[in-house]
Parts: sequence; C-alpha cells; structure tokens
Amino acid sequence: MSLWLIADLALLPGLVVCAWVMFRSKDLADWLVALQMGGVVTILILLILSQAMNRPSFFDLGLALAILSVPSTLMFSHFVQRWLG
Amino acid sequence: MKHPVVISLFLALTVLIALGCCLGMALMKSPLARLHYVGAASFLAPWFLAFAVLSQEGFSPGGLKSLLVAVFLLCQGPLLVHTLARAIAIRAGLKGEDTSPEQPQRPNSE
Repeated sequence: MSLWLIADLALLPGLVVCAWVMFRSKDLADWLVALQMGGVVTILILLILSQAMNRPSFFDLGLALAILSVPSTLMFSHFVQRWLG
Repeated sequence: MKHPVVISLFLALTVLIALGCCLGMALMKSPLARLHYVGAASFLAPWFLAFAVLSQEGFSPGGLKSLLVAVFLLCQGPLLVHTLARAIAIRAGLKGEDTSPEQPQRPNSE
C-alpha cells in the first residue's frame, strides 16, 4: 500500500462528512455548501488516485471536474437566487 | 527526482487541510459560516497536492495538470464562494432584492 493510496483512503471520510451534512440538514443552502465541498474533495481524491494507481487519465478526470464545477455551481446559485429565494 | 519526506509532508498537509475543512464545515451552524471552510479547502489543499505531485514526477504532464488544477481552483474558488454566498444571503433575506438588469422595474405608483 503506497503513500498515495493511504492519502486517498484518508480523504474518503471527508466525503462521508459532506454526505452527513447534506442528509442531516433540511436547508437547501447547507446542501449546496456540502455539495461544493464534496466536489473539492472528489477532485483531490481523483488527483491522488491517478498517482496511486499510476493512471494519468485520472488527472484528466479531476481537471474536467474542476472545470465543470464552475458552470454547475453558478447555475445552481442562480436557480436558488431567482426561483427558490 | 523524488523526495519521500517532502512528498509525505505535502500529502499529509493536503489530507489534514481537506479533512479539517470538512470537519469545520460540519461543525458550523449556518450555511454562510460553512462556506468559509469550502473556500479554504479549495484554496489551500490543491496547492500542497500539486507540490507533492511535482516532487514525485517533476514537470511531467501529470505534474503540470495537477498544477493547472490548483491554479484553476485558485481562480474559480473565490468566484464560486462569492456566488453561493450571495445566493444564500438573498434567499435568507439578509441582502436586498436582486438588482440585476434582467428584472423588470416596477412603475412608480404616484
């Protein structure tokens, strides 16, 4: 078990915490914040996984997730602001 | 060239920052307070991870991609945090009405 894999496994509880915040809270705003944090942790997991598994394609996955999180978060926040506010 | 101690240090910092920010987000009560930790995680953790990858691989395609992700998160992190905070504040009634030009202006009743 390499150091990268240990770091990757150590980051998984972060996703569990984000999911716990989402399920525990009844507020949409909390869900959005937890989702955003989960996205950041997922990007880190993918980048570390590419090193742990020696698969360079996972770098592209993490980069794609980082890029796509921008329009998705902007659309979510716009939706919350306009129609659910 | 690889430096195991340096790589370990950067990886440990990445994991500690990410987990600490997740924990802080879980402990906070209001969404706006939780958003602080999202900003911190998106700003700090990718840089230490990029340094770890660069220490492992040097300026290879993988190292450059991890650096690119860190730079991208650096640029878009504050934007997204601000956008989310504004939407949350408007929804909670903490901020005034949306004053974007798309909204139709109400005619004066006078």
